[in-house]
Amino acid sequence: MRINMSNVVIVADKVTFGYDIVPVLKDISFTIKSGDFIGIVGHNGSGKTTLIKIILGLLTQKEGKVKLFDYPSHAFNAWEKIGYLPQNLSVINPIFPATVQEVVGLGLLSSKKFPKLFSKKDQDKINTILVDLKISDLKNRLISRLSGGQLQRVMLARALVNHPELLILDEPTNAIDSDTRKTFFSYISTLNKKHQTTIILITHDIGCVGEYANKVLYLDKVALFYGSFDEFKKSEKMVDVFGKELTHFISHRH
Amino acid sequence: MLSYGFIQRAFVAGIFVAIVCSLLGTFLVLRNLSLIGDGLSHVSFGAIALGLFFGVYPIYIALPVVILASLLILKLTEKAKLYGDAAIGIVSSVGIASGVILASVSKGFNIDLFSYLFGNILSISQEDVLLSVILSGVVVIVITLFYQDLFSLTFSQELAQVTGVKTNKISSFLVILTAITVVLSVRIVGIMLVSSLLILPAVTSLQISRGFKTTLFFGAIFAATSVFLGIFISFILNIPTGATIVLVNFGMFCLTYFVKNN
Repeated sequence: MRINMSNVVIVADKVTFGYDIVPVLKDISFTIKSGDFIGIVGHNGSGKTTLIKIILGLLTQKEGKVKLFDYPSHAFNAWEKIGYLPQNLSVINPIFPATVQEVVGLGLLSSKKFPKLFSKKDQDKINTILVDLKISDLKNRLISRLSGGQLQRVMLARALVNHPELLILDEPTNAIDSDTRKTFFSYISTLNKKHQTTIILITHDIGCVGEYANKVLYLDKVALFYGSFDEFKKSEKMVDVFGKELTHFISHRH
Repeated sequence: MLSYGFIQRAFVAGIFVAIVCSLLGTFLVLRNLSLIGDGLSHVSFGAIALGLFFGVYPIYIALPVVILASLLILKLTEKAKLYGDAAIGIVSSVGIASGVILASVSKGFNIDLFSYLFGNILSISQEDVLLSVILSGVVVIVITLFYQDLFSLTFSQELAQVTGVKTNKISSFLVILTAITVVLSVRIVGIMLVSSLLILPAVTSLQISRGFKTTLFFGAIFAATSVFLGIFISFILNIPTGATIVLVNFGMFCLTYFVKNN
């Protein structure tokens, strides 16, 4: 069968990565197509975040190839197609002196050419995403004055403000309560279904993978499983790994 | 007092350089590179000694040498995986050591060198004023043109990279601009006090911050005010101007800290 490349968002081919002699990822291969909702699961240290950083070109693999929208990841520059919400927000300084709208505006830089001036249309985009995520009342507030959940939504707004085709969420619900988590996932799910936004979700929240994702990548330094959620349910290998928890997936889904 | 030519020159050059220092200082403080000004001013000491040794106008030697040193600090931090302050420490001590050796082997220019150590804003020439205004203008224009990139890099290097910001290029711009500014500031407050102009207005403004742009704006206001009051007070009390500017800056920091926490 011929693969339609215009529909392919990410191709990873035998990706291997390690620090010195310590292996972190070995021979990871998968293809993600437009409109997929992939849940990447695995225990701490299984290489989930490392894999995402390789895809985004923040780390370079030792072996193998990664293609992002048909470009090798090191040559990729169509950043306006990607929205990225990093893990635990650890990459930002929580007392940084910026307002919510200043931070959300940073998400627009990927589509700007030098000297990257903002227009009224850009301000409208910022206002719209703030309304969509129900944080417009926080517009002029300093990010240091936000709760964990509010900051998470601001960073999601930054990732979404440019209407990306691919949204990468690394442990997005760690800092938030269960009600906010539900609203968060229902919003993400709508983006995926209505706008065909491709979503990669890294999470420990195995239940929400069962509930929202249509494909699962189970990592433990190697890809122990990659396939549709239905195949995942039936995989004997995964039943061995999860035992009763796999049943929990299924009960969430149906 | 304002009718004196030397006071007018001190106000113009001082205020321009202080504003540029405060703008760059905000980015440096938030990137944990506060002490880069201190390190580069020590390199200026070596470079100025080199200029005096060969009988060349010291600023012309100091500019390229300090720019190279700033890039070396950046590379040491990135490539050798040194902590930022360790890289600054290495370059800084090499700069001072070179200056001391040059001063020791040619005994004739020590007095000139000491005038750069502590600066003397009241003795700057018309050429120094012109150079300060032009280079300050260049630095402000570059900051304005690359504002969003600098803001993004300062907020998060990783997020900046995945929004297409050329983070290596922008980091280099930031340290080169800092190098130029440090060399300019040496004439105003001297090698010993230059990092205070980079750090103090920025941290004072951070106390009352209402956003990133307002932090930059108030930093510039605090910096200009400190030079104005510093020159005025030092003239009235007949005390060293550079040191007075620093203490006025520290006073404003204490005041904003007190107001914020009460």
